[in-house]
Amino acid sequence: MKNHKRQRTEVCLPARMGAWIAALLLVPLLTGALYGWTARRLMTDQGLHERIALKAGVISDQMAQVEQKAAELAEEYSFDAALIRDTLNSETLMDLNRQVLAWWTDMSTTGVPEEMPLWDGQALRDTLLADEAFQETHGILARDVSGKVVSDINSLLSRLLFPMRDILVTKGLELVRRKVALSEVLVLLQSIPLTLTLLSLMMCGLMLLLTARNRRTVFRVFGSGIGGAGILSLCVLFMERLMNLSGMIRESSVRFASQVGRLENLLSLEILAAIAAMLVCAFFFLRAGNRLSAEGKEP
Amino acid sequence: MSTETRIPGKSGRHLSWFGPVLLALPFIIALVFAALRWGELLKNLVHVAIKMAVIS
Repeated sequence: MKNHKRQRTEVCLPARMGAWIAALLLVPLLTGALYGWTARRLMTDQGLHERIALKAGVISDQMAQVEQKAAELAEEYSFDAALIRDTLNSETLMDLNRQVLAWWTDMSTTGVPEEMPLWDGQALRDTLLADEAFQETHGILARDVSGKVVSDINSLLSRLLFPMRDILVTKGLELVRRKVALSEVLVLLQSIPLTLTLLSLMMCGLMLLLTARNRRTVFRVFGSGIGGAGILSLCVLFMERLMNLSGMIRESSVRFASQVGRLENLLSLEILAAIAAMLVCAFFFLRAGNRLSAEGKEP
Repeated sequence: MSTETRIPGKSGRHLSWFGPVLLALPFIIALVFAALRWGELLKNLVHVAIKMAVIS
């Protein structure tokens, strides 16, 4: 009886207003937390990048480029292209991709600029110099020619593994480090999603404290806040897709654009799943509130 | 800030489905305004940065 009486208690106007203001604040906080976690993953999660860069299609495309370059070099310097294929295979390419991704995630988490890892072409150089036909063709110039072949393959690999001007990234980081304590800024940036999540939880707690006396209001305020965050997140995602980032990159590099497009699609799917979860939660909260209202259990 | 709508002929039944839309609306308006005001500038900046950084 006592419990029934408590359920029927109306929430006073200031408390209800406070709860709705908390719900209004929950909308950008939850949206910010969702995109903050995505940005944090983009900066620190090497596995996420590996899921794109180590795909069989990407590696076979890179291998095809290497083989084409090997054929061109073999024709130009008169040697067997199989010598390059023997020292540089898919496994080597996967390993190099992993090294470059580790270099990139290390730099974006610590802010310390480092030299991009390069392929050690010593094995190819030794193989070329050990080949009798190659020695006979080039004579005393064999060492120089082998060096030129390794250098050409290396510059192709740099373009394939990291299709951006790495010098801009490292020099840019050095410049920024001179002005600000970059490692502290990066730690601060990485803590933003957690802060936003904690603030969202605080808002939820506040809403619960202010409206706990009336279940219908609790359900409605929670449902509206979470649903609003879902709608706002959907709009942000729509606008990001409107920018057509991969389309802009396509003008410079088709291969890099397709990788960025794949990453964009993967992250968009994850964001869409989170938005769907938010909207489903909101639906159930709002329906529960409406049911209580229709049954006349709550004022 | 009531978001209830009473369905005519069905007394006691309420609809509060507009709550999420009403809460998200100010931010969506701000987002659209920012996109209209600075969207083109941002797009151009990103475009230039990509042109500079990506090896063609």
